[in-house]
Amino acid sequence: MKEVIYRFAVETDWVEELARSHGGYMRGNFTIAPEDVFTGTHYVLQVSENVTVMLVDATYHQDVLYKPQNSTADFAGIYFNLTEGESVHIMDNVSKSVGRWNYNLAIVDGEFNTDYMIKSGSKCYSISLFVKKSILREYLSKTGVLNEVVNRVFDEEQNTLIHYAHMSSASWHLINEFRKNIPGSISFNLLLGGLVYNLLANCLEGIMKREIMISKVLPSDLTMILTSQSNLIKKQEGVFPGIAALAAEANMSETKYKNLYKKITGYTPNAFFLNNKLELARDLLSRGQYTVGELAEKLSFTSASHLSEQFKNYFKMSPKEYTASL
Amino acid sequence: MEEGKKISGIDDKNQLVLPNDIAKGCSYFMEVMPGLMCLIVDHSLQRSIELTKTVNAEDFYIAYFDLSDEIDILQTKGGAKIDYQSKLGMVVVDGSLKSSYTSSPKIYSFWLIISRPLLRKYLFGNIDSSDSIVFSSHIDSRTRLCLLKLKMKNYNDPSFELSVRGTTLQVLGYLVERINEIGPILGKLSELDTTQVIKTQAHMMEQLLGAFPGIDFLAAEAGMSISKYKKLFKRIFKESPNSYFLREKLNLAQVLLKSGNFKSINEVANELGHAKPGYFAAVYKKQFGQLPGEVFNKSTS
Repeated sequence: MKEVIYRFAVETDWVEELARSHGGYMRGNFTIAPEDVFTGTHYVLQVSENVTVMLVDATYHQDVLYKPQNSTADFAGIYFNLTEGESVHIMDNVSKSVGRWNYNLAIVDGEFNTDYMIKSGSKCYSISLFVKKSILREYLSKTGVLNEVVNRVFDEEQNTLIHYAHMSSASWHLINEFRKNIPGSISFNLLLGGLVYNLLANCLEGIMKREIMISKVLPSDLTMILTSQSNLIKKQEGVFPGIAALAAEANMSETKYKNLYKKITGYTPNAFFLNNKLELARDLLSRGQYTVGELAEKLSFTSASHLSEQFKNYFKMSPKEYTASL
Repeated sequence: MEEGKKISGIDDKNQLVLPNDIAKGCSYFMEVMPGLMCLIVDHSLQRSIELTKTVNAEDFYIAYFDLSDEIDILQTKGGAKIDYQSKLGMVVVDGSLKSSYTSSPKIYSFWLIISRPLLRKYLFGNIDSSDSIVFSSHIDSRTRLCLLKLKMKNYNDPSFELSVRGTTLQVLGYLVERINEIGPILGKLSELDTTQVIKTQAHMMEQLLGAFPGIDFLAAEAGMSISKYKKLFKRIFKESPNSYFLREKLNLAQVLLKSGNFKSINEVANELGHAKPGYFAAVYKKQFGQLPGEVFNKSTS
């Protein structure tokens, strides 16, 4: 296993260090790593004085443990991850995996350091944006959010910028379209810059749809919530364990647990659990092995009609309509 | 752009609004990075106006993308009356060439204004500082797609500025690829010659339903010798006048076939002056890879 200690920033003076701690070197915008670490593209571009992008399209050939050590906090990281499979693991501070990353989009304060591991054999594709908080603040003000709220969002005493989510399909399509371009080709920097701004526009639209929750989050809180969520996913066929049990498991008061859960994931534990169940129901339906009745029983819905109703609520079509559309 | 400012009040930092009796809608101007600006013109004109770009931007190239409503097919008693305007969609000119156009009533256009040093950075090979870059073409599908996405957005959205920045860089990226591919790096062109040649192209587009006007006619119209005309045309449009005309005719054929205004393919072929339907089908297939019958929408009326 390789340990990589690094830091990020909008200014790109860290790239050289990152290359070195991989045991590699820089060639223009590319970081070249030894072949037994990873092969593929690792590319950093400063798009403007406020935004830098890092593109990773690589296959890992050994486990790499990343330990970010950012001390300055004038930026936030926005991470888009299209890696497939169970490859990115969030670690707690004793380097024990607390579960894999279930999200493909994270917006996290630059100062907020979480260790993570990329497993050997993983094919990674990620786009990381490092954006100055000052410009994020400007954009957030434009959305009509009250100044007082904006001030609190960026007040480190009161709030931690942290937001795990699923990227919009628009972002997903943008990135997939972008993947057709060849790194280093003459138009590559222009198209990468274009991608960055389009992704930022999508993010801003996404944030506007979400309730803003102000609270402090510590790295240990994050690992707790993510662990709790992994456990919920393991129990997804059963009934909802209840907030009291979940909070006890996470060693928090119920209020703290509920607030943190919603702050980080955007959903209440209950809603997350139900949505996840419905996604699973859809997967199983598309494989055609179950009737709606059997599925309701398997997934612990009180009845087939209850499942149908919730399904329709979430996907805007009934299970029958969904199966017919396949 | 000067013309926008002259007749407008500035509403927001980036929005230009025309007086309501001239047009509804707005324009949006932004400097995306040093040497790269973009202008969006989105108007429903209340009366016809002519926009003239005056020569005040010698150090810039201008790429113009037109996404206005492309075709009006008016149904009249005698059949379909077609108003197929010259819609190449994409024009790249040197800032030093004067150009003007009368716009269709509903304009949506996207302009890139690129400084010479910036564009040079992205071009292969050496370009002499006296060279002009001029070409007209159809908007490629990637560019069209990202411009259409932008067109759907609302100017007042907080994310609009970011979308404009993103789109501008993307469009410039595609443009750079395209210029490098077709290499439209030309020698110095005279403004008059260019205007004349573009005029004959517009004339051809109006005559698409008929037969090819003939190279001697077009050259005479442009006021130059046949050989000079052919050479210039090819430099600007990347093909000979004849093959350009045929290709545009078939593009129109495709629009008509899909329009649902005709009862048979023969009718479309006749409309376009093709006497032999079999020949029409053959040339159509050669260009689009499928037979007219495969895209034809039959009129239901």
